Amino acid sequence: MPIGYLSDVFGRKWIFIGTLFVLICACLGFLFARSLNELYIYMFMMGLTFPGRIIVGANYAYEFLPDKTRVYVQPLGQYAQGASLILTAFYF
Amino acid sequence: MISKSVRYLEVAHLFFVIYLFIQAFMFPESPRFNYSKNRFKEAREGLKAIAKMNSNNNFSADFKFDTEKELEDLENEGFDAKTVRRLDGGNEYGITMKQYVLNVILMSLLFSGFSFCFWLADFQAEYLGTDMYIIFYANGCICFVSGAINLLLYPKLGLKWLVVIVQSIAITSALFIVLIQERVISY
Repeated sequence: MPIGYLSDVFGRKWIFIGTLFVLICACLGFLFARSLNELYIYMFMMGLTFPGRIIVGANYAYEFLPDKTRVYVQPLGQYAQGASLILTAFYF
Repeated sequence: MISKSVRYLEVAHLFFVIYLFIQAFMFPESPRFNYSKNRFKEAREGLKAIAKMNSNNNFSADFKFDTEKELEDLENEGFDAKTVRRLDGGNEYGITMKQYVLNVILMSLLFSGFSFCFWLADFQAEYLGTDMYIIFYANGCICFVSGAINLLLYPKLGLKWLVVIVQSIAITSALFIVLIQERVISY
């Protein structure tokens, strides 16, 4: 989906809010899914929100930061991603 | 629900997303976006709100952007500011300069290459007959290492040389994997 382009046309804020709304719906659907097929649909919906979170959301946040801070925030995001992957593996 | 173990993790995720959803309403529109649309007043208000959030009391919104002055000068000279190409290479419909278009295509190809390598690791693990936990641990550790590389090297080398180094590592690793799989070398 050309979500990055849409955020250039309509603004980061509302595209990001729309993304989060779809994600909330997908999460709720995921929690109450009763079959594997339903689960696939909600996981697909979650996947659709990925560009909205990574391209629009992350850049929306970066645009609030001064250049100096931006350099440190991106690696912190990677650390958080790494920690979540390892902790998820521990959890299961 | 398919697995009860997933439920607790998903509930935590949902709470976090709802928190972010509520927070997002309180944030102003990106000043950079407003600036790109020539909404300079809104851009200044956005910057003011961000300064307030960061407890910066020294910020003053009493200034004009370079482009704002440039457009005002153009209008004063009798030109239509909407039709004159701006110095930053863009206009209200996005990218117009050839060099910018080429850069976007190049960056997209580069990103596709990165993504392909990233997801290829999962299939590689399948080929090696390992389980998915190894992928999680490996990917997690890689995130830490790549974050540290970015943090340490980006300020010193800049984007261009960091991309060159990272791509060289990726190409060397890919070559190594292919040579192992094709039994050209063994370890």
